[in-house]
Amino acid sequence: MNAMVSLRSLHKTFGRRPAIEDISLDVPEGEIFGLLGHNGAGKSTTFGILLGMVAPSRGEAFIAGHSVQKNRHLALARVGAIFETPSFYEYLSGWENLRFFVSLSGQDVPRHELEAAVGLVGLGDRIGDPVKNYSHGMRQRLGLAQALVPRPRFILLDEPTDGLDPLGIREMRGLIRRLRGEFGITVMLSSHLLSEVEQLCDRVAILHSGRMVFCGEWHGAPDRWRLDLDPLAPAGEILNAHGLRRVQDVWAAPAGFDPAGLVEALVRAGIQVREVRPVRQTLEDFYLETIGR
Amino acid sequence: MRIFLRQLGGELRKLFARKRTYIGFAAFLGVELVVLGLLRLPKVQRGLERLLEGAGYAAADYLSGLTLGLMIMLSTVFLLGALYLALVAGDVVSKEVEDGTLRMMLCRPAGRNRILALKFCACLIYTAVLTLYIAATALAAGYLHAGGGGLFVFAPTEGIFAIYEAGPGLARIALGIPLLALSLSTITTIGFFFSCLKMKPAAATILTLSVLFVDTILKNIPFFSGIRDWFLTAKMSAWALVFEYRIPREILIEEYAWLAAFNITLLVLGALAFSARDFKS
Repeated sequence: MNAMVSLRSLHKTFGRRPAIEDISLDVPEGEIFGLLGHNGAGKSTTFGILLGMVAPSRGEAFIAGHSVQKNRHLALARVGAIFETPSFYEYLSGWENLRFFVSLSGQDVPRHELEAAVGLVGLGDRIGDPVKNYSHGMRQRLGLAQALVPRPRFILLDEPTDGLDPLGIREMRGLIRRLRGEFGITVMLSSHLLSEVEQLCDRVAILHSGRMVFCGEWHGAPDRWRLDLDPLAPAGEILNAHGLRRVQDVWAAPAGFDPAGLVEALVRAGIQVREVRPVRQTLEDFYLETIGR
Repeated sequence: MRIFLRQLGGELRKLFARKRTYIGFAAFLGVELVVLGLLRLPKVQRGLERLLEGAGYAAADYLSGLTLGLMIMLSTVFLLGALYLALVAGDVVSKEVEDGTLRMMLCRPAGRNRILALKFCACLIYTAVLTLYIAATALAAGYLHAGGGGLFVFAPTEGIFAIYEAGPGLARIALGIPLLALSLSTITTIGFFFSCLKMKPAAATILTLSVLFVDTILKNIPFFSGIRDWFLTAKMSAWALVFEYRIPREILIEEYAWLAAFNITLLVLGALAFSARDFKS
């Protein structure tokens, strides 16, 4: 499958402070990809480079095969984005804002396409109101509506659920799934709500202090096991021999781990085995472990 | 071109949908009325009559709507024109950076130079509209107060003392208004230049006004009278030359070519600075 987004050895330094270092990744067409990291990890810088708002110190970003740095207008021709908090002209209506931002796409966009985007995000009855009267959730929806016109192949969403109530978060999640499912749009998003990313994303990249410390299907990460052994101390050697590693109150197992073999070895050594149970690892666990917290 | 015009329409809608734009227009009307009130004071009237009668003209014929209108226009442009143009042009980029709406614009394929071109064109149109508005309201106020009659122009710093009948007088004013708008576009360009740099909108406005004030102060220092023509505000006053009996076209062309070169230089520098910026909060 072709890569919709490719980042090649991206570096960015603000003054003497490196913001990102050697970020390379590919996002195939049709994927929902999550970019995770603490504040200041480099997510916004990476998004900024992808949109041509931040110039990389080194490296290059490609969208649909076009270099953002060399052919920005081609690279962004079919891209919709919400970069940081969506901001609008408060004194204009939602519709006027939408028309203005869409006009900058340089394409003739028929009215029905604008109306369809407004309908899709559920703003139909309030689109004529001034934006100053919009709630935060409505602004997020308007931000998404403007990103959907003209119909994009790739959408970049920076904290799309930021400030939304639980219902709004669920609706946004449903909408993002629809965008991929019905329209085949590739989505790249960042969020601090790891449970949302967990439900939405096929793959994630984790940035920490400007470096990419993980990129891939986090579900493929080593399993976790809860062990209740008595006595525990003498079991250490056997656990090590099976490649188990303590992570907080559970044990990380390597690929191909054989739990039956472990139990057999423990019993043979006279250790009482009260519990050997796989523990489903959440993205939050995985994230915190990956960044070393 | 069609798409550019549509985008420009959007920029203009943004500019003219703001309440502050109209507060500015209302403020101009207020100041014009104040200036008109001051021109009606007997002491001021007597001064103008003495000036005209000293040159052998009947004051009643030339203290007309045209004369008062031009006087009101000159006073308000000087007092408020610079302020409002600096405010609008100083805001036009930096306020959008501050509000985050520029980030939304830059998410689109439109290039930075195109966005700047749209904004600058909108500012120029605003400058033209404001100049026309000031001229129209000033002349209307003058006519309402003093009725028809000839035009009397007295501009000592430009060395102009001229008298015209109503028709030719109105024609000279009509010729002067576009040139005045061109002169004022220099203020717009300075404001726009500062707005492209990394600074708060208020700083861009204050710097623009500072440039104009410092230039005016230096220009009026007697020691610098020999180089008076070098100053920006002196070149911006060139539009008043249309009131000379024989319009010095060569000087007009030279002064406006100089202003055009100055404005283009500032625009290029502003665009270069804007292109080099990273936009990220």
